Formats: sequence, C-alpha cells, structure tokens
Amino acid sequence: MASNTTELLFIGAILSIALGFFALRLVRKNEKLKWNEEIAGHLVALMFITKGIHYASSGYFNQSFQGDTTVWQFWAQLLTICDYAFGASIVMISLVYPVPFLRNKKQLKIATSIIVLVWILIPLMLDVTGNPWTVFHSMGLLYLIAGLAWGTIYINFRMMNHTERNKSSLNIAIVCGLFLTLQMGHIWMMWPGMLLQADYFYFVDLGAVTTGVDATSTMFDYFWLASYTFSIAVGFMILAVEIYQSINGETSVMMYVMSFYFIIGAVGYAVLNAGTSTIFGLGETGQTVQVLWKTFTTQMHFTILRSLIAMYILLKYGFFDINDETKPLAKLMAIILIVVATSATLELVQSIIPINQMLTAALLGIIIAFGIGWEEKSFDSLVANTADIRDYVDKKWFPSIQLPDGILRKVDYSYLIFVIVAVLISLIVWQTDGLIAALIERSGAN
Amino acid sequence: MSNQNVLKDIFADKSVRNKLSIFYTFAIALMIYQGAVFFVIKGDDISSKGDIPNFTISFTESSESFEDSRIVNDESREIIVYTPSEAMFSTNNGMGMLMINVTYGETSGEIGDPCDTVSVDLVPNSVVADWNNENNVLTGTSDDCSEISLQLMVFPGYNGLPTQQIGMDSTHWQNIWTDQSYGNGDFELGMEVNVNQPPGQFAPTIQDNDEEVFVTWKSVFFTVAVE
Repeated sequence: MASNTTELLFIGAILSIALGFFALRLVRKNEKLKWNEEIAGHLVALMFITKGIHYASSGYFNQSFQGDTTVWQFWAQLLTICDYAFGASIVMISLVYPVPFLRNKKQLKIATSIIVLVWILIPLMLDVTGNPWTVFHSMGLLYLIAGLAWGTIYINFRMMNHTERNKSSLNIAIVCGLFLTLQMGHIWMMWPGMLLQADYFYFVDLGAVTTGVDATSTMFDYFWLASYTFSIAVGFMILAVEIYQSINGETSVMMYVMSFYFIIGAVGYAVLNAGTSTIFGLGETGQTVQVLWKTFTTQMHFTILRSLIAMYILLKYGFFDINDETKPLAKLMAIILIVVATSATLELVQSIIPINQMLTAALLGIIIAFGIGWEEKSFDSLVANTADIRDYVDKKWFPSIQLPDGILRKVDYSYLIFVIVAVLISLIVWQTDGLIAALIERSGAN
Repeated sequence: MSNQNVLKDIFADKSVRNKLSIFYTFAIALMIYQGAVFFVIKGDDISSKGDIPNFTISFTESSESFEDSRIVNDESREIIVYTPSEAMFSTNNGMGMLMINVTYGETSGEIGDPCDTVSVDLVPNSVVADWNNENNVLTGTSDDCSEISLQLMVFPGYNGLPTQQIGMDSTHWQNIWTDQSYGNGDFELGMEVNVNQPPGQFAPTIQDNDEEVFVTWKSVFFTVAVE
C-alpha cells in the first residue's frame, strides 16, 4: 500500500504541473481580468506548479529510503521548500480573491512583503542555517489566514440580508467555499478524530521520521494541529450555514460538497480506530485497511481532487477568456486532467482489487469515453455560463488598483527563480548532511 | 467608493457581524478544546509517543519426541529420516531447535567383546535451518557405548532465553519470531558402524558384524510472547 501512496503522489505531480502550466498560459492570454483576478489566476497556476514539484519530491522521498544513500535529504528539503510557495500563494490569493481584503497599493505592498518574509525568507534562512522545521517556519499559519479570509467573506455573502442576496453574492460565497475545500478538504475528513480525541488526529507529527527520531518539537506539532482544528471549525461553519440555507430552500453545491467530506470523515473514524480488527471482514490487518482508507480519501483529495477543483474554479469563474484561439488549449487541459485522474483512480482500484486485466482495460476505455463525453457535452456550457461575481454586488467590495506594467510577468519569473534556489538549497543541505545533523541533534535532545 | 479598510465594510451589517462573531467564537472554543486535549488530556501520551519502546520477548517451549532404530551393518552407512509433525507447526510460532540422542550397546553376546564404533552426522539438506550456527553439533562418534548428542539450531537467533528488543512495535517482533518454514521438511541422519572384534573368540557361533542403533529425535517448538 505504501507504493500506492507513492504512485498517487506522482499522479498528483503530473496533474498539478499540467494544470499549472496550462492555466498560466491561459491566464496570461486573458486581458479581461481585473487586477485581483489577474493576481489570483497567476498565483493559482504557479501554486500548482510548485505543488506538483512538491508531490514529485514527496514521491522520490518515499522511494529514496530503498537505497543506502542520503539523497532523501535532498528530496525532503525540496518538498519542504516547495510547500513554502504553496503557503505564500494561497494566503495571497485569499487576500485578493474573490473580494479583495487589500484595497490599495500600499496595503498590497505591505501584505506582499509580510507574506514573502514569513513564508519564504525566514523559513529559507532557517533551513540554510541548519534549523529545519521550527515553529518559526509558521507551518499551519496558511490555514489560519486563508480560513479567516475566505470564511469571513463566505459568511458575509452567504448570510447577507435577503434584499441584498443575488446570483453574484452566492457565487462569491461558493468560490470561497471551493477554495476552502481545495485547501482543507483532507482536514475536514478528520473532524471526528479531533472531537473524539482519536490518536490518528492528535498523534499527527510531520517530523516523526521513525520511532524515537522526531524532527519537530511538541510546540511545532501543536501549532500544526491547531491549524487543523481551525480548518475543521471553518468546515463546521460552512456545513452549518449550508444546512440552514437548505432548510430555507436555498441549497447550493457547497451543501453536497460539505456533506461528502463530513460523511467520509464519520466513516473514516470507524475505520481508522478499528485497530487490528477489520470492520469490512476483508481478513486484512487493521493497519492495511487504515492505509487503504487514507489512500482513497485524504490522499486522493490531496493529489487528485485539488487539481480538479482548481480546474473547475478557473473555468467556471472566468479566469480564462475562451475564444477560438484559446478554446483548444482549454479543452486539452480539461481532457488531460480528467483522463489522467480517472485512469489513475482505476489503476489504484485495480492494484487493490484483483480484477482481470482485460476487464480493467475495458473499464478504463468506458471511463475515458465518459470523461471525454463529459468534456464534449459540458465544456461549452461550463465556459459559456461563467459565474459572475461582480455584476450585482455593491462596487464598494471591488476597489480598483492599477498594477504596474509587467508586474505579473515578474511574479512568474520570480517563481522560476524560487524553484532554482529551492533546488540549490536542497543540494547544499544534502551535500552537507544538514538534515542528518539536525535529526541527530534533536533525537539526542529528546 | 470603497472604504480603504475592508473590515469596516464587513462588520457594518449587524446581522453579519453577529454571525461572524459566532464563527470566530466557535473556532476559538474548538482550538481551546484541542489545546486542552493536546496538553492535558492526552499530554502524556503525546509526549511519549516518540519514545523508543522496549520489548521483552519470551518463549514457551513445547517439544515432540520420536524414537527410531536401525540395525547397521559393519562398515556400511544408513540414512534415517525424521519429519516434524505439521500439528506442531500449526500450534506454535516456530521450531527452535532439533536435538538428537543416539544410543547403542554391544549386543553380540560375546564375552569381552568391546563396544563398536558408531559415527552419526546430521546431513545439511534443503530443510530451512540455521545450518551454520556455531552452536550446532552436527556430527558425533562413540566407541564406548556412550550416548551421542547432536544439536541443530533451527530458528535463527533462537536459544530459548528471553531477549530484550528496542524499537518498532509488538506486531513487528511477533512477526519476526513467527515463521513456519524453519525446520519444515525431512531431516536426514547418517549412521555408520565399525565393528570392534573381541581379542579372542570364545563362542564360534556368535558373529559380531552389525549393531542396532537407537535414535531419539526431539524437536523443540516455541510460542512467542512480546510484552
């Protein structure tokens, strides 16, 4: 099962990088975007490219223990640094889209400076000075900031007075909900573990290399779990609001999304707490069923669903200007993502359930046909009926800022430089055995 | 015209303000609860979750004995075969060791006839066992009718004494000490007899040209307890 998790990471890498590059190309071609949409579009694309590198590094990190080398340090450092870009990007997106919290150039500059300092510069400085994974890396803060920003906007527009409610306000609330789902969906699946004090939640430890070797301090683990708890609070809030609105006859797609994640979480509690006994009577040990469950739920969200949700947001919320020139590229992106995601899922099922290969080949064909069929049938209606978020909402929510010419092109290049720097730092850390030294020091201290 | 402070717009509506307050209060309450569980209720468990566990591995032995005998002619070699029973494998975690006792006497009836020379050897074959263990005694010889004892350590690392292990979990150690393949097969014991004639023959009808050799096989199985 461990190999399935690794394979899923590589699938996630392909999906994320493909989405990122296609999206970047399409967003750059869209000249109709407002300043905040332009920033969000670029950052979503760049965020997924770096996240793709993160997934690939995680996959290679898992595999690197098979040989007798220390190359795992390179992959561990690279996957960690790529996550800094994800954190910085998603926090910035939450502050500008769909409703900008930053309303003038000064606020934009201050916020950008703080984000770059907290999520990029300080962590990188700590890493190169031999202090990986400290509380000053602000791990988990991205959930708090983005959860606060999107959660606040979600409540504001979903629960506003009846007279002010309209299509655009609903669309704003839904896109906030979708971004929160993209970011926190895997955490929402842990809600019963948090409430019922389950070990599978409270023993989460990013730095537990093996028994007795822990790269992270107790405070680091606490802050990480506190951010998870806040994410679960955000999930409960959205679920409660959606139930309330459904009772009042205003059901939205978020009701189904939240129900899905919270039901998976409820079932997952029974599975993950089952110990060595199997609740499905598969004759497997509890550990196997637990790993199987995680692969098909949290890991699946983490690697596959995130890209698909992002693709839906980008297509539905008008980040792409679909015309005769861009339509083939957008369609190609949709087909690649859907086909890779469906075939990977089927392969995953096949590796667990011993189905005849001819049968799975036929099933794969049917699923791909459905995938392409969906694309043919729904793509046009999806891009033709983009969800508008500005038309019927008070203009006070959408201040205008004139971005300097070419600033987003510079942002694109800065991400490229960031990735090169990440690779170089990872090489240095590997060659100087920086992580091994830190682990020896911390396990000795423990 | 936009206000420069977005919070003023967000909190301007009293009804929304109340709902946001509920959200923030709920989130803070949940985080206080999580903090209490993390540091107080499960504090000890969490702080010790990274400790290296120490396991005592002890064994409860049970054995199966089987007796056999062969009449071996002078200067010839016989092979005697023993197969441990499947029932012992299915009720134990593994087979620890195999002990073989070989006995014989001088049975010619000739007065003053000295004991014959008996040599035995446990033949290394395809049966999975720790054939190269330094504690193995795979060959033995006797020329004074004394007992010959052979010993084969079957399960690698097994000596019947409790051991201490650090790290991993109890399932891991249980699995390490569970393997039905060790000792599962046909063991072969080779036996040779060299008859030692008496200095003078008193009874011409008595011929000393063979000897009956008795073999007792004892296979020691174990069940493992990890604490």
